[in-house]
Amino acid sequence: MNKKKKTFRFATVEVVKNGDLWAKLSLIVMGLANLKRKQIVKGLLFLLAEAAFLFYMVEYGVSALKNMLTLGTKTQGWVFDEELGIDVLQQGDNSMLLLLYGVLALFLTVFFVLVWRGNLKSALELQEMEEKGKPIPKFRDDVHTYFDAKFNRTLLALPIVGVLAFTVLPLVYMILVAFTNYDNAHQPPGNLFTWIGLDNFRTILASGSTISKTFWPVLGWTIIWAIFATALNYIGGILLALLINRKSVKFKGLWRTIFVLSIAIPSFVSLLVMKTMLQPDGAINVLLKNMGLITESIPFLTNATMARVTIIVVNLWIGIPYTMLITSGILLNIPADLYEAARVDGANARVMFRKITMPYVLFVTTPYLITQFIGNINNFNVIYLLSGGGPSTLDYYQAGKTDLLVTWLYKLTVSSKDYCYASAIGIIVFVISAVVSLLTYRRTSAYNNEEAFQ
Amino acid sequence: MKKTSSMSRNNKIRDIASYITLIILSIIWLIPIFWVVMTSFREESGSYTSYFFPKGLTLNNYVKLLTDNSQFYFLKWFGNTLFVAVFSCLISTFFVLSVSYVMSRMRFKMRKPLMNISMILGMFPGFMSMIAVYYILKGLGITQSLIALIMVYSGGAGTGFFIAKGFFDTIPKALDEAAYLDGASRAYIFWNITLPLSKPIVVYTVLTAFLSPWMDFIFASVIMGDNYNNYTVALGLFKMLEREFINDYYTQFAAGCVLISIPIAALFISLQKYYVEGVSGGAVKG
Amino acid sequence: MAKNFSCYDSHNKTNSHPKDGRKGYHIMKKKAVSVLMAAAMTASVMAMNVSAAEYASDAKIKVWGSQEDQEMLQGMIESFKEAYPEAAGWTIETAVVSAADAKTEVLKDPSVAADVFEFASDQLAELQSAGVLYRITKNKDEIIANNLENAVDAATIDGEMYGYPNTSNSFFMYYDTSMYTEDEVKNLNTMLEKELDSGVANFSMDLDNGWYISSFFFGAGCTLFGEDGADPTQCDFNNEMGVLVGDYLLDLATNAKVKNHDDALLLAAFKDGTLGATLTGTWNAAAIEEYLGENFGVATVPTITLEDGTEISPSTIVNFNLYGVNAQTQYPLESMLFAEYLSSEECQKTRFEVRNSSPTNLNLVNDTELLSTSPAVAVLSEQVKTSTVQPSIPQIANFWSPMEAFGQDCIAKAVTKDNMQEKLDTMVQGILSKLGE
Repeated sequence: MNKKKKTFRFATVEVVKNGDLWAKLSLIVMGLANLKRKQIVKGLLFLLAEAAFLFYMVEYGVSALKNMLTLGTKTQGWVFDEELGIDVLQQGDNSMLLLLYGVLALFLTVFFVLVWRGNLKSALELQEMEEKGKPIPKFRDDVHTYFDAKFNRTLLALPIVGVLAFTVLPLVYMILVAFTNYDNAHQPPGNLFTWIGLDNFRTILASGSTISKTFWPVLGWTIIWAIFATALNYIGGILLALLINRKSVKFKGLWRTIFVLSIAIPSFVSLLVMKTMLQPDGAINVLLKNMGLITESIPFLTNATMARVTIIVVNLWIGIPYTMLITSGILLNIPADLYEAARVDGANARVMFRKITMPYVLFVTTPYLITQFIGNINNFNVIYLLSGGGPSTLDYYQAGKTDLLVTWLYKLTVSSKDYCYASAIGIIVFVISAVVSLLTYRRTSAYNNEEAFQ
Repeated sequence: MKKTSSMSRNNKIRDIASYITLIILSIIWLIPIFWVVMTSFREESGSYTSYFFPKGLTLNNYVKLLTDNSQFYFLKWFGNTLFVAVFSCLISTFFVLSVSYVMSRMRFKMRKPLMNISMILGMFPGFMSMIAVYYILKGLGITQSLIALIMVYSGGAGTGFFIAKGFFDTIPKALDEAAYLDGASRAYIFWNITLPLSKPIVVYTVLTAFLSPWMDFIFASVIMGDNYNNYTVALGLFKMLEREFINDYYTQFAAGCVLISIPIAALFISLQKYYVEGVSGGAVKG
Repeated sequence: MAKNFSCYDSHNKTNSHPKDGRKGYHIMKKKAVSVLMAAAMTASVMAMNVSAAEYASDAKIKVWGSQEDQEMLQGMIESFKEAYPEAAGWTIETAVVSAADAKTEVLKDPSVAADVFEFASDQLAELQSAGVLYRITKNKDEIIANNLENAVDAATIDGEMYGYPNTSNSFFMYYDTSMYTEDEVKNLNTMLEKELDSGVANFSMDLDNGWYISSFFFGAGCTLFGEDGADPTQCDFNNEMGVLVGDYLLDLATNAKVKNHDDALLLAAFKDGTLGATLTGTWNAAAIEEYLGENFGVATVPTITLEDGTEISPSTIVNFNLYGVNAQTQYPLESMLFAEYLSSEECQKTRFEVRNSSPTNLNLVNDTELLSTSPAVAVLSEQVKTSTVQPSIPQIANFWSPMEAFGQDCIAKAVTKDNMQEKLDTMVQGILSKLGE
């Protein structure tokens, strides 16, 4: 049944061409085909969805979409009231809210179109079933399939709604801001901002030294940082896991617990603490001086090169236990018979590590590696809390030697409120990292060969 | 005979080397923790001292932190954060496991596109869309509430499924198929077969999700605004480091750090047992 | 009338530079002229006692203040209701947002922000241009007459006032009287020549913080964003005098007797008795007094003698905490009355007594007897008289990072006297540069 079902790729065309009366009516009044075939609940749900959408569109949606085109026309103003002796506020349009409402309206419209298509598909299915004389599934049957064949939809529904509302919608809003002049001089509610097309990208990429003299070096450091932070954490974590998992090492739980402690302390706390400890007069320097190992403070965070090394090392402190945790789980997961077989074949420990352990671990953790890499490109906390991007340099525009693109963007948005430039830079970074990681991910065995090691 | 004895000597050297490495690493790992704990008991105030070990020890920092509510409502904020962390970790865990199970076990048209999209979504810096998130929450009428924080921390969790999916991929599919042939539904397989086999990854997911509310101060400050009562611990601790407070409150800050680390550490250590048990209990055998 | 106008004019003069790319101002200005006369007239007619009928009897007002201020604010609300019977039925609630965070919070969502909020004057231009502040029209002349001139300047854009001056904030010198005499602390060079015990630093300051090091540039006559601090294309920290100041800063940074101390470090150093003098503000007064005990001394920032022999007196950056009225408030009249009360002489006095805040009210500033109860505030009031008002135009956001970089480069000796001009040029370029140019 599942496989024989026609795929209604162009449900609308299909309905117009071959649909029966009820299917055609469903183009306008959703759920009619279902109601006709006694699928009362489903039909009513479709109908309800349509009614709700129409109500929304009439009440808010149409004007929201219209306003999105202009982003507001009426500037906030003041009129002096002689009698009161004060200005009186004349509310104007708020471009930022108009943009956001517009995006919301777009989302709801797209969602409605999907539901509408579902309604047509359902109508066509019913028509086909009726023609072939098959029993029409009851609502209960429908519900049942959502816990079986269509279980994916049930499981994905809530997460997808969450992602749409809290990730995608804000993201679309932010992307659209890059095409407006929402900068410092156009702050709502006192000012309107408006669409300016690709101008921001042009100013960033094509004109001027101000941005590019900072953008490229910061991008370079971001990539170096992400590679080092990811690779060293990964290697260190696996080695540590192997070390603890050695047969002869006793008190495995104790060792693991010690290292897990650095995760158990929220990184927010440990980073702030480390920041204090690593200052020229901080605890580490004081300790080393008291021990007589050094006389001059080590410039952990004040010298550009040292600061970069320090940050990577501190990140190891936080990151290695994570990899250790996840890989020691995986190491224990490796089917014992693989090793058995290898041992029978006379393989020694090193060969087994190379031929069994590493491929297995790599296979399982490639996605982890990629998420880590992307996470490090956007690793806000470590940089912001530990060095704040410093030490500052006259060579960069509003950035320090350890600033990543993401912390630099944060400075741009928070201090100067140039949202449009910030989001344009964000998009550029986003495009670069998206392309890179998609390309690498698609080449990995984890993506192409998901059935291995089953 | 000779060979085995040299091997055992080699092994012994290796064992000693591993213990030494572990001990050195442990010291490096413990120093910062030791320092915070020590600072939290330090009698003298201030963030810097010209000596490593405190001159006097006291419990006062803890007492003040917990009882003196004139500036910082530590206990209240601690409770807020715990509440948010528990619920957002439940929701995120559910989301992550659902999505990863689906992506690992089921095949459907939108699968690869969805995987690609979620990978891309993680790459855009979240704080840039904060203001949009704020107005979405305002539209829902829940700004400045703890529920809003829970939704923010867990709402987008669905995109972080890659690790868990990688793990599910290693659980033999044959188990599912056997159960499926026996007439079990997908939902039954998910709850009763796959999940019990996945304790390590469940633990991992729970722990990461539980941690984020303790660390975030950017979203929390945007969402809470002037609602001082609903601050989270991270916001409050961050405030203690402002220049007006840092001198008087640094030792209390350290005490706060120790206090928030305790439940998390306890959780970690207790779950670690399950974690090892779950794995070594032989649940997964090819 | 005439008096009112002259008063207005003197303000207009200092603010008469046209601002580029800010259309809002032109509109405001036009309106301002027509409104001006009415404003001046109403101000004199209204005086303090407005008839109760004008105010809503059940107004709801929210006011923001820092957590430390909450208790004091409650007291002020009570005394406000006592002083103004018409306000007896008002609901005035407080919430926690400090003056430093006001801009972020208000701009995030003005519709739920407090009706009356305290903000630092460096946020003024952005708040005003975003249209979230009420223009002050009532009792304006009185407010101008009652407060320090530079406080009023800091609250004024294009001749219009947008905030009620409340407290001033700057820095000055704390020193250990067992190490320096009152005469010695007049000049920094003199102080540095003195040999103190080994391990004791003669002087410290935050050398990589523009808020502190800019005072030397200002003292030498350099300006930031033009004379009136409103022209984002002007900064002459790299002129001849600027280079001399830069050399001086470099000498400080490389002098073994001078330490680079932020707040935490200077406190630790005073506590250990390893520091002779430092520059910081009133927020550290209590702690330093505790550490130095009877050796506690305060003075204005000492003069410095540049290489060419000129002695200059640094002009510290000052900013003011202002009370603003939210443009979206439901109760503008009531909020204004309350904001005016919160910044009145009476409340400023309370602030001084409770929070050690330095007042802007002239009666209080000139009341030496009152101020002498807090030596730190007394010196600050003195210091502020020669201070430079921190510019509030948005370009100021670009100021801190290049200054910090310059300071750090001095400490790291990446700056030398040979490349001073070049480095200052880069610094000024960084301060004046704009995104996308």
